[in-house]
Amino acid sequence: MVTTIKAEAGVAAAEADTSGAEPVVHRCSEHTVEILSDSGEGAQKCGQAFGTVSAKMGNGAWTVEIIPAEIQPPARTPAGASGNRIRISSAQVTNWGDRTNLVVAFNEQVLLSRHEIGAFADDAVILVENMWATHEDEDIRKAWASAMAQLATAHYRVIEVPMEEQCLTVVENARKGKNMFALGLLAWIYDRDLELVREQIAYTFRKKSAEVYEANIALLDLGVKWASEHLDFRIQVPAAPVGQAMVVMNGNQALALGGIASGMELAAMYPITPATSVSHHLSDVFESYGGVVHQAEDEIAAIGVAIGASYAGKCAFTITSGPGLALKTEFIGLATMIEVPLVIVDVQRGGPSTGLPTKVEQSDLLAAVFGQPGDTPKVVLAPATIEECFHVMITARRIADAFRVPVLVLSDANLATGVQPFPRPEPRPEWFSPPPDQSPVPEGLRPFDWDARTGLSQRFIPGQPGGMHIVTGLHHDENGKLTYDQKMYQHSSAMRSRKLAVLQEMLQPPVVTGDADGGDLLLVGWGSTRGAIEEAVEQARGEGLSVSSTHLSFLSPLQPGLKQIFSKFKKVMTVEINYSDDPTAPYITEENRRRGQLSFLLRASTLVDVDCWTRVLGEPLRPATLVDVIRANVPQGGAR
Amino acid sequence: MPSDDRVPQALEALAGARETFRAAVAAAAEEVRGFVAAHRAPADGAAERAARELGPFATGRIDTSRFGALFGGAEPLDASALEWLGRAQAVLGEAAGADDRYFQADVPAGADLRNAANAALARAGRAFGAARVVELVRGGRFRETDHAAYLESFPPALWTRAERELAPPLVLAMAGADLQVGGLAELLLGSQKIVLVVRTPAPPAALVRLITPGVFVIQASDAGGLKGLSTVAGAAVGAVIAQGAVQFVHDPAAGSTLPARLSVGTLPAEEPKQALGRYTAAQQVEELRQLASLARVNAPALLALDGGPAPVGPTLADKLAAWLLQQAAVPGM
Repeated sequence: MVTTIKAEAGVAAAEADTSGAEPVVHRCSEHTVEILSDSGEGAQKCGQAFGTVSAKMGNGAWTVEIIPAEIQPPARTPAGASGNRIRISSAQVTNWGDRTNLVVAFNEQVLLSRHEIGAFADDAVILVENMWATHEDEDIRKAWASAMAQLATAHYRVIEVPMEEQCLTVVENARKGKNMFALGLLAWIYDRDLELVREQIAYTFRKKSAEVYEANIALLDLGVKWASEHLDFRIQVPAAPVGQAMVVMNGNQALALGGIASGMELAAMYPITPATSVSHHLSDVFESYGGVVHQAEDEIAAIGVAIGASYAGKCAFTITSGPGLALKTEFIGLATMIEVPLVIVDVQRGGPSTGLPTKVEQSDLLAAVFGQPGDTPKVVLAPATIEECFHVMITARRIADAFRVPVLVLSDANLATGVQPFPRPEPRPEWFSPPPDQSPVPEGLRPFDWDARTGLSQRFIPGQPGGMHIVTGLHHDENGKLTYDQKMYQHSSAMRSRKLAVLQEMLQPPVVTGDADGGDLLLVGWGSTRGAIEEAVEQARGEGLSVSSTHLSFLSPLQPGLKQIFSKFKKVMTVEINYSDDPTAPYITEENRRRGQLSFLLRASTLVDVDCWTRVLGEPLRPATLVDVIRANVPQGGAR
Repeated sequence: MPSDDRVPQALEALAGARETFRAAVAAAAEEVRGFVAAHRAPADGAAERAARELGPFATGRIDTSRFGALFGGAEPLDASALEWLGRAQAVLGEAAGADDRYFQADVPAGADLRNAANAALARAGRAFGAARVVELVRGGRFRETDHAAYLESFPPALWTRAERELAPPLVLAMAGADLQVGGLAELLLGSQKIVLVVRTPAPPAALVRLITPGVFVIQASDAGGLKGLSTVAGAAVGAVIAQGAVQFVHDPAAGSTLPARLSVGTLPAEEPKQALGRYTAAQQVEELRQLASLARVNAPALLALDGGPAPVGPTLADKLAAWLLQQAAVPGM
């Protein structure tokens, strides 16, 4: 039975009763779907499969995982909502978009949690498991009724679906099957290629038995059948023509594959959310390419192993998240002091402390740039897309090798779990940096023979003829030996720092999207927010507002020309997912206001009064929210 | 020799070990290629090379002409060094793309098995020799008179411990009369895998001589019995003997005591009476008894022929040996 609570607009305007009528097909350029369940019910698998199949069919896609902070939160609670949000489009998608158009929910409580934070479009269609309406537990029935009453205050079209009842015709435990039934519903609604869906299921359950695969296929077919017999609408999001080979992956997988493509041969890590899956992907394939994944006993040991491998002549990388970065602090200083190449990947999550392990934040920027005691110059890069997560590793490794310096790559939970199609990379032999020169060391050359102009020096490898040397974390001279020479303290600090200036001199100014010649408002972002910022800027410019944006990929050293770019705009404002004080809040003054981290950095380095707009809601930024921010911040009279 | 289906089956059983070897060699080949590219006088501009090295993320963000100007120039190598690096690179490339023939050899009738195996491994191991040549050239220690031969043949005795872990597996086709396996023991180091495909009648328990604590040993009647050999940790040797041989497996991972590690199929009702080539009947009998003894199999028929007493359980020496093995507790043993 299909029950429609309310139907007012869009898809929701269609009649609910299908009784033999052809479904109404709604054609749109993009649509956003959410699958919600309790933790452990497989909504994420369903969403990932739907997103991947959509991308393979040529749709632009961006998925975001909705993950509770706990591994196994209580069932049927708003805080336990687990799932996946998939934005599909006829064009390329660069962010998760705004509000959800269609929802499949396994219970009303997870639905309610998303409704309460305004996740759904006003005319969203909601397909919800209806077993709770008649549940034997009166409290559950009451909770259901209460939730339905709340949802009825919105303009959603709610369709009750007997998921449990249907799944029990195939499996004994419906909790293990609803996700594939839901996938069947979506496959029918969005007219997905069922052969591709079956392939994806086969891949998802490749380590399970044939019986498991067959049961999941039966559930998929059941979902398709139920939808075709009971739903009165379908959604058509035409695919964009794809002129080249594409790949579909999430940011962590891209970082892992990029690490392999860069020719690095050792990844040392300790598991930490949301970075862990980088090593999962690596452990699947790294050995086939001559690499080693080392899971150390803790974060400190992990970076120690990586430093050791780099010291021995390789370039290694280590993977972590905020709390792990804190633990690695001392060894990052060591790598800087002994000048070994090292790549450190920080997949940022909400902080401080253990914070929000599964949620996105960009709060590690200043820790990455300045987080070590003593002066620790290092390079910090930030990919902005999943595709860049792959390519940044090649650049990071080359810079680390060339400058004998640690390179920090700042990804985040949004990139880590988001899935996006992008052109298939064509690995080049040159990405494998040449191994260090182990020719005999020329007579008289020392292991830290800094070039006085650039601070660069030739890297010695243990075992290299004439290259025997010691390394120490203590202040040392050109021979690597402990020194008590005051002038050497100053000189060696200058040499380590100089390398960043040399790199900065090679960098190019960031591109301005919009009016490079200037205007009323310039938004400055970094990392995974680029898609949302650029989409918002495009929309605001469509409204006639004089707004542009620029996005920084190099955060240490900063790209050149920023002051000049900023000087062309009446107002410059960073947009970040980290905390800043509301200037109107009690006690907050211009003098004591804590600003967004990039804003802080830019103000210090350019002396420009860079404002900021930041949020720490544990979710990616929404373009529509940013459009509102732009409207509120364009100086008055600032139409183009 | 005529083709034998068991040879490709044996190679298939070693697929994992072959891939491990190929992957390691391919990685080495790539490294050499990068090194040669960096030290050859550049055919194109440093900026273009820098752009390729830095990858697409650098596009529009890094001025590659400046980067190339600063990092474009490793010291060019002299022509002789480049030539030897090129030859080594070719050997590595050949090994990385090697087909099944790279991992198999025939043992000529009457030849010494150990020598034949050593020669075949030396040929396959020339990939390691090539890597050694690269190291020597890079370190300025290459001498043509001493080291050029490494590109043709690099025997296992020269392999490093790490190379033994990546050892190329080997399938040897041979006659049963030449199954004098004792000399193979010195080759069964690291993760070396060797399979002997025996084409003619063979002694019933020849491989018993290779049973040592850390070595996986299997005698099977068909190549199907070798399934999973690639995944065995450490060294392993197998023989596929169609006619007259006892089937047994010595699996070091199966337990800490010999009886737990050794499982033996049915022993023949009668001891061998005929010599096989140089293999005397007495040798064959001795091996068969040794196998029965190691497995503590009750084999009254065999002992009756000999007239000696039947075994009555572990001797004091057996107990001492078992205790010592337990105390050793060396990983991988």
